[in-house]
Amino acid sequence: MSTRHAARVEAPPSGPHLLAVGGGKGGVGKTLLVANLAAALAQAGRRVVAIDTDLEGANLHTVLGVPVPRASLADFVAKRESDLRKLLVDTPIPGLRLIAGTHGHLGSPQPRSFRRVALLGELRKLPADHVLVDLGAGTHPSVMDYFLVGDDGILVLTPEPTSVENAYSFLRAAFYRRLRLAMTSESARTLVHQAMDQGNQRGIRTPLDLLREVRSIAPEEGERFANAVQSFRPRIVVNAARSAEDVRLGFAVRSVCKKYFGIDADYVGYVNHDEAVTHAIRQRRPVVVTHPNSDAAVYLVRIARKLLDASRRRGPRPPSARAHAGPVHARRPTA
Amino acid sequence: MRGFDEIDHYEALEVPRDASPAEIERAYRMLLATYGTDSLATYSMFGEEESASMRDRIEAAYRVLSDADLRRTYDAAQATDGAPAEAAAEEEPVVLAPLAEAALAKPLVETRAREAPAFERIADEDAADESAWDGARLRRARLQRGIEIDDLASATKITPAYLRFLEEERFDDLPAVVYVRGFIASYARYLGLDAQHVARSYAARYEEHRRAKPKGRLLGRR
Repeated sequence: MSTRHAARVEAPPSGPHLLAVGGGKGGVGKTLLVANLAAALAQAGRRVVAIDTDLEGANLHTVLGVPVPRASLADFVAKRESDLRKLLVDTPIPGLRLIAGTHGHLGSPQPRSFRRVALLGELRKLPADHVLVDLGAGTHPSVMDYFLVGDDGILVLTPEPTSVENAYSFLRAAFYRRLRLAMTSESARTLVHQAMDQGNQRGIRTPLDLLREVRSIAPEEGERFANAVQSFRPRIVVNAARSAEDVRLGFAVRSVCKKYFGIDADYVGYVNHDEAVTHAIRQRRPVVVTHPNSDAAVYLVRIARKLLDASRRRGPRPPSARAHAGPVHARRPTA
Repeated sequence: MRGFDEIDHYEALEVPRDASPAEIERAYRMLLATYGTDSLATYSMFGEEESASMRDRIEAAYRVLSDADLRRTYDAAQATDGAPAEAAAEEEPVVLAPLAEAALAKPLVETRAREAPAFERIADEDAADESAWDGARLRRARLQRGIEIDDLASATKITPAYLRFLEEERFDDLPAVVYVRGFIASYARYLGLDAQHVARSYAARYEEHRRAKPKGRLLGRR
């Protein structure tokens, strides 16, 4: 049910550039990345909204130097407020506003699927050039939906086995969810669903096995499958890198994406382990603001610039220019 | 999306068809580490058996592509018998399977005329940056490519100590400018940067430092 609704909200191609930052594991630097990319984009003169969807462990407001706000996304989830724009609060950084994720419902913090669809639609109406979405940990369907409807999805990982494992779980969840959305027939969707069970009886072990199965039942679904795979371009960021070997991890993960999932992931950069980051968090400000000359800040600004270039290359958002921006499926999940 | 046995040597090494021998060498080393035993990036995705067959595939590709003669023969054979998937897709657009696979094989965004190997694409931003090449920027560029000082030393025949001095801009410990210029050019070339431009930029900083000091090398020394 929710999946089909999610597919529908992807249709309106106007509004802000939507960038989701996830990573499966908690504590890998999702919030750090969102706060700093948002600040860097705002410093570059863009109108930016950062939104904390981690209603169970919200702290984006703290990293941005905003005292615990009264209004939060939780008000939207609980239907106390239906207009996201009314939940915007200013941050100390000019051009950057926040929708906090504080005081979520302790029992059921995640929005139900209908509310989620409304929320995903509302994100596109925010008065901004970029909306950066800070995702919670794990692979809950709501987390995956934010990741998949975004124009860009960043996967953050650190050079630790636990983080790398969770990053792959996250990628796998996103990959199969996206494929299931792309399938039109019930039989193909069932097949994808079966493949998501990693101990399935049909012997589908890899995405390649699945593609062959899908193709064998319906060639046109096979083509949709291939298109969905091709247009899925997650971006990779390695955080807390301490050595050249850590930096290489991004290339290695990229290679696995290609050789296992068949997807072209883009390694957009890394952020080195830097004391300046710790100092900045204590000052409750993004490191690109407090220590603009630190290595971490230099790398973060580079990533921001790269994302900005990529969003420009895809073409400006006004309808008049959209015709030149290439096929819709190249920019958006599910063609 | 194809099995190991269905991809060609270039796809196996993740390099473009016009990759230089140096690019092939670097791609090979990177992939061997990626699919090596106990590799952080792959142990949770591939079993030992799969990793081993991946390594075999990479080795096989490297054996051919690293040898100029074998590579030429391979390219010629590919050009004649049906290999190029793009051609197949153009001739028979109704056949779904090759079309889909050809689409997968092609990069989504074709902005550059020549696509750098995947693991070097991160370097593109270096070219766009207009600022001067100082030691810190060189170090960042090196780390960004995942290159250790020792790799660089064995490739350029510059001692690790000098490489560190270059990065730390310990100008007083470095030899005369002609040597430094040569060092930086080798360093930059190995990273795939514009060697002449980088060397000129760095040498200017070095000379400026020399000029700022009292005349006479002996007096200038610490």
